[in-house]
Amino acid sequence: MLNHLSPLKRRTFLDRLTLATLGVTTSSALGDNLLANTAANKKLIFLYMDGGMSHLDTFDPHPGTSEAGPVNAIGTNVDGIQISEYMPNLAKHMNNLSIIRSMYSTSGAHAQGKYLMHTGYQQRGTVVHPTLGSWSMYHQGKINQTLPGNVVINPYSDYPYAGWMSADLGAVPLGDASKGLQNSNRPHWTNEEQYHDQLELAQVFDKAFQQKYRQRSINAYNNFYDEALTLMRSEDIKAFDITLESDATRERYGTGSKFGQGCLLARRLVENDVRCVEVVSRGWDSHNTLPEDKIRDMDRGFAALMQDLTERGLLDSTIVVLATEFGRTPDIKPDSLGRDHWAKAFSCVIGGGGLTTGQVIGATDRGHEVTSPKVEIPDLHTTIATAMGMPAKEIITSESGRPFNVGYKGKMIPGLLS
Amino acid sequence: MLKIPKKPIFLLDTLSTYQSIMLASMIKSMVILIISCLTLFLTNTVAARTIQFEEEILPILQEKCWSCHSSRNKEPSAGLLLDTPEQLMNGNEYGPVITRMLPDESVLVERIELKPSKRGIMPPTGKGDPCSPKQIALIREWIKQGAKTGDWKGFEKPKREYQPKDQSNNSPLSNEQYGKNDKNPGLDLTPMPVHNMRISHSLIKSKANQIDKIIARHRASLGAKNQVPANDRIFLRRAYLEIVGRIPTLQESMQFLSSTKQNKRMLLIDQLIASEGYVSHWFHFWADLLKVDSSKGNQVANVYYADWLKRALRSNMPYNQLVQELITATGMAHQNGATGWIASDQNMKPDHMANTVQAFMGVQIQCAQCHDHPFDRWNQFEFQSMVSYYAGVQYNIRGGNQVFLNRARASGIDKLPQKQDRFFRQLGQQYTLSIWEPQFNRWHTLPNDYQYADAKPRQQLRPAVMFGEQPHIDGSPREAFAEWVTSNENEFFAQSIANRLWKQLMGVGLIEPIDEIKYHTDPAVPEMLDFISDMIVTFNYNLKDVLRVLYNTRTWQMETRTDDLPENYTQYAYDGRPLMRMTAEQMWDSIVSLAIVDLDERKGHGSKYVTDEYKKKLENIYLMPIEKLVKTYDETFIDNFREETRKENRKAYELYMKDANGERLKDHNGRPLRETKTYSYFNFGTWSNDHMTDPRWRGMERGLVRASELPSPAPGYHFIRQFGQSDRQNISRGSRAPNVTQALALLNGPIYQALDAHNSLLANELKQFETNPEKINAIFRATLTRNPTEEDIEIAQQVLDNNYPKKGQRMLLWALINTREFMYIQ
Repeated sequence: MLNHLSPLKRRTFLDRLTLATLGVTTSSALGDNLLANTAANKKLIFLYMDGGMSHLDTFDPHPGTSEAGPVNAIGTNVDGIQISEYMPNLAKHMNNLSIIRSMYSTSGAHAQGKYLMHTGYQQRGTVVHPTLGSWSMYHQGKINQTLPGNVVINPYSDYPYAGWMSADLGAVPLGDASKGLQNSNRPHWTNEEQYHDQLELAQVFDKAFQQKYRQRSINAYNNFYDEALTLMRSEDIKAFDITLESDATRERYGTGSKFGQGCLLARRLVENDVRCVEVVSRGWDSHNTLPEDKIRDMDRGFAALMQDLTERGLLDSTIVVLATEFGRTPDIKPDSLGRDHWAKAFSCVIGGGGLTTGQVIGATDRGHEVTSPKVEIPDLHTTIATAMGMPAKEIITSESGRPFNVGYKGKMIPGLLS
Repeated sequence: MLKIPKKPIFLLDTLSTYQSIMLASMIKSMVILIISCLTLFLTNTVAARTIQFEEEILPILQEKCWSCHSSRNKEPSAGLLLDTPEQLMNGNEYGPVITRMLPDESVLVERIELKPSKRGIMPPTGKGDPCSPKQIALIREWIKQGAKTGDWKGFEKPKREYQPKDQSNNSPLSNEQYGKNDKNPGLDLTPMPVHNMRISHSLIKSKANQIDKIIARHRASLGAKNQVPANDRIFLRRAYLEIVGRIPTLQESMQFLSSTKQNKRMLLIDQLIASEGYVSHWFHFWADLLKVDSSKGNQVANVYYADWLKRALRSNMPYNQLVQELITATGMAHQNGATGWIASDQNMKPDHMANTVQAFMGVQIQCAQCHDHPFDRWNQFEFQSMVSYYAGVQYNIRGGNQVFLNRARASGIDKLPQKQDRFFRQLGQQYTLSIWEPQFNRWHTLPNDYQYADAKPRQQLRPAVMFGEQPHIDGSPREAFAEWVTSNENEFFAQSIANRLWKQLMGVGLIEPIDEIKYHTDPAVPEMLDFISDMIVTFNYNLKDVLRVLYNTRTWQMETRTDDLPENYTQYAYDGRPLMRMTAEQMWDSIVSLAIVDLDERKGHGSKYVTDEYKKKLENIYLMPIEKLVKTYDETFIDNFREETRKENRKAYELYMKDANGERLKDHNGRPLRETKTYSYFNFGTWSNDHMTDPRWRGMERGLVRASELPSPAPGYHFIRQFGQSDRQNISRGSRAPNVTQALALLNGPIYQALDAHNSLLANELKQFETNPEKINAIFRATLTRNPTEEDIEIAQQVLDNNYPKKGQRMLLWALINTREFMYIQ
C-alpha cells in the first residue's frame, strides 16, 4: 500500500464514478425521450444460425416426401404442429414459440444474406447499416446502466456492428461465452491492493497533462475508465460468468457446445437486464452433410434457454428469435444428404415478449416455394422492433444526410402482435 | 368529314360523269389541302424555313424508331437501321424508306401516317405512341426539302467488341490469356520502380513558408493569437507518431535530442519518410480509404492487395499512377494486387462508381445512384452513364474452386472425372479473385425504376463523365475514365487528396466533411486548397515530397491547443494544433515498439522459399487452354504433380528449417506446427515467419508485429479493432471515439505480457541503468518522451525502493500506458 500519496486520495476515483452513469454519448439521452411514448420496453435474444439453416430438416418438415430425405417429423406440445425429429426438446416449448415458415429472401449468398438478416437492409457498397441491436440501443438505450447494453457472442468477421451510427452503440463482441467479458478481470500478476496503487500512480503521472488540457474527449476517456472500473467491481459483472452456474445447468445447455453455452450466457445477461444479446452458431453451411449434430446442438441450447426463461418469468419481457440467412435446397443430394443455398423459402422462429405463440405462420410446398403471403426479412425486423417498443417508422438521418429507419420498408407480420 | 351540300353549288348536273368525278376529286383534294393547311397552321408553319435535322428530326427518330431500328439492337426489326445518314437513305432489302423531295413516295411517311389500328403502322401498336401531326408534318417537310442530314455522322455504334490484343502480334487474346500482358506479368512480386524524393531543402523551406503565410493571413482575419512552436520533445514524438506511426524508442529519442545540427528537424523528417516505418504507418491511411480487407472473401487473394499497396508506398508510386492502376486493374489478384480495389465492391458497379468518385474526387454522388442528388448538381442519368465505363468488367471470386470447372463447361466439358474435378477445384482456390474485361456487347443500363423523363428505364447508356471534356475511348473504357479522373483538368482529383492529406496532418480538413466536396464549397482557408493542389500537380503527384513540405511547416510543428476546437471548423484559426488521440494502429504499434527491437523490420518473408520454377509451373497451368489442360492433366499426371508438389514443399520446408536452425514454426498459441501445416505458410501467404526465428525476436510472440503486418482488418475483438480500426467495409471507417472496452483493454489486456518478457526491448534497455532514478528517467522517456517531474520521481522511487522492488518496473510501465498523456498526440 502506498502511504505517501499526499495530493491524491483514493476517493477521487470514487468521486468521479458518479459521472460515469451520466454517460457521454448523445444516444442514450435521445433514447429516453422516445421510450416515454411506447408501452413496450422489451429485451431481445437473437439466435443466429450462421451459414443457412435447412428449413426442411428443422422447422418445416415434410415427412414421407422425397424432399425430407431420411428425416422424420415429431409432434409437439401444440396439436398439429410438427417439427423435425432432431428437435425433441424444443417440441416441449412450441406453445411458447411461433414458427414462420414463409420467410423469403432475395440474397442467396452468405455475406449479403447475413447482412440483410442483421440490418434489415440490402448490403450496399457506400454505407454500413446498423444491426437490430444497435437500433435498439439508439432508440431505447441500456436498461442496466453498468453492463454493456448490446452483446454479440461469437460474431463472424464482417459483422456490421453499429454501422453508420456512433460506434458505442455497436454490440460488444465476445469470442467465447465461457471466458466472459474480455479484459474484465484485473491482470493475474497484480492483486487488488497493488492494482489500486497502479491506478493512483497513473493519476499522479497524468496530473500535469490533465491539468493542462481541458477537452471533451479526455473527459470522455476519464469517464469510460471510471465506467470500466465500476463494471469490474460491480456484482453485475458476474452476469458474464457462466462458470457460476451449476454443472447440471451447464450440461442442460450442452457442456461442449459453444452455442449452448452462449445461450446460457444470454440467459444470464437478460436476467441482469442487458438489452440485446445475440448468440451466433457457426457452421450451418451444410452442402455435403445432413447437419443432424448441429440441429441437435441447437435444439438443446435453445430449449434449455426457453425452459429457463419460462421458469424464471423472463419470457414476457424478452423476445426470443431464431434466424438464419436462408434455407437449403428442398431437393436433398442423394449421396451426401447435403443441401445447397435456398433463399426462396425458409423458416425463422419467434416467441416471448407477449407475442402470440403456439402457431405456425405461412407454409411452403414441400419447402420449395412459399404458398402463403411471403415474409421478407425487413418484415421480421419491423415486427421485432415494434414488439420491443421501438418507433419503427421514425426516420433517422445519418451523418451523410441519408434517411434510415429500423426495418426499412418492412410490414408487420400478421398474427404475432395482438 | 366535310359534308357535301345536297344542293349543287355549281353546274354539277350539267357536267359529264368524268368531269364530276374529277370535280369530286378536286374537292376532296381541296378539303385535304385545307385540313393540311389547318394542321400546319396549328403546329407552326414548317414550310417557311429549313428543317434542322439534328434538332428537329433526330429526336423523333430517337423517340419513335431507334428502339427497334438501330445498330444497338442485336436484331434490328426488318433489317432496317436508321441511325446513320447512309442507312436512312438505303433502307433495307425491300428498298429505301425515304425518297428525297417526295414525302408521298416515302414508305416511312406512309407507315407513320397509317391509322393507329392498321397493320404496319410505325411505331407498331404497343411499342410507342403514333407520331403526332406535328412530327409527321416535320418529317414530310424535311423529306420535301431533300432529307438532308447536315454534318450528322450517325449515331455512334457502341464498340461491341472491346477486346484486348496481344501486343506482340496484335492478335486478340482469349479470355484465358487475358490478364497476362505487359502490365500483368504472372505472379508479380518484383519491386516497383522507386520514385525518389526529389525536391531540395530550399524548395521545401520556401513552399512551407508560403503555406505558413497563408495561414498567418487566415489567422489575422479571425483575429486569433499567434502560433507557438512546439519544443523538440513534442516535435520528436509527434514526428515519429505521424510519419512512422509509433513513438520513438529511447535510443531514437536520445539521438535526436542530443543532435546540435541546426536543421535537425528537417533531417529527421527526411529520414523518417524514407524509412520502412513510413510504409507501415501510411498503409493504414490508404487501407482505410481503399477498403483493403484481407479478412473478407478469400484471405490469400486479398493479401495481394495489401501487399501491392505496401509496395506502392515503398516505391513512392506517384498518386495519379496509383489511382490509374487501381481503376484499370485487370487480371488475377496474385498477378496484380491492384485488382483488390474493384473487387472490394464485389462487382456492384454503381456502388463502385460512387466509391471511386468519393475516394479519388472527394465527392459524394451515391445519392444519384437511385435519384437525382438532393443537395448537389449531380443527377441520376449522369451518374449511371458514368457507371457504363465499367460495363464490361467481370469479377470472379465466389468459388475460386469453380474457375477451372466453369471454363471446362464453357468448352462443352460437362463433367470431369472425380480426381480431376478435385484437383482443379484445389488449384482454383489459389486463384480466387480476378477482374476481367473480356468481350462485351451491352453497356450499363438505367435501373428498372428510373423515374425521370429524359430517358427510359433499362435504357442502355453510353459512358459519359459528369463534367468536363468527354474522354476518348480507345481500348478499355476504364482507361479513358481513369485518365479523366486523374487529369490535371479535373480539379477535384488534386483537391481531394490535398484535403485528405491536410486533414490527416493538421487534424481539420480544409473542407469538411472530408468526403463531401460540393460543387461550390469554399474551403475554410481561402487559397490553401488551391495552393496544396497546385503543389501536388507541380510535384508530379510525388506525395513523399508533398508530405515533406507539409511536415516542415510551422503550422504542423506548432504547439497543441489546450481547449477544444471551435464548433464550426471554418472558425479554426490554426492558433494551436488540435489534440488528437492516437489512432488504433498508433496505440498498438507504440506499445509493441516498447517490447520488440527493430519492430519496423519484423515482417513475413513472402514467398521466398517457393522456387521460381514451381511458380512458373503453376502459372502455366493457369494459362493453358482448358481442353489441353483436361487432356494433359489426366489421373496419372495429377498423381505425379501432387508428388512433385509434396517434394517442392518438402524442399521449401528444409530450406526454411535450415534458416531457422531447426526451430519449428509456431501457431498463434505458440504450439509448433506440423510440417504439412507449415506448407500453407510458404505457398502464397505473406504471414510466413522468419520473424519467428531471427535471433533478435526469438521467443517473442508471433502476433507482436506492426499493425500493418497483421490481418487487415484485425478480428473484431482484437485490441486494434477495440480502438477503432476501420472495418474496411466502406471508405474511411476508422474512428477515434472512446468506449468502455478500450479502457478495459488498457487496464487489463494481454498486451502487458509482451512488455513483461525478459528479452523485451525496454527490459534490455533498462539493464544499462544502474540506479533507480536513472531507470525511472528512462521509463518516462521511453513511454511519454519526456522526463519525469519531481513528483513523478518521488512516487516512482517509492514504488521501486520500498513497496514493490520486484514488480515495480512493470507497475510504472502499466501506469504510464494508462495515462491519457500516453494516448494523445501533443
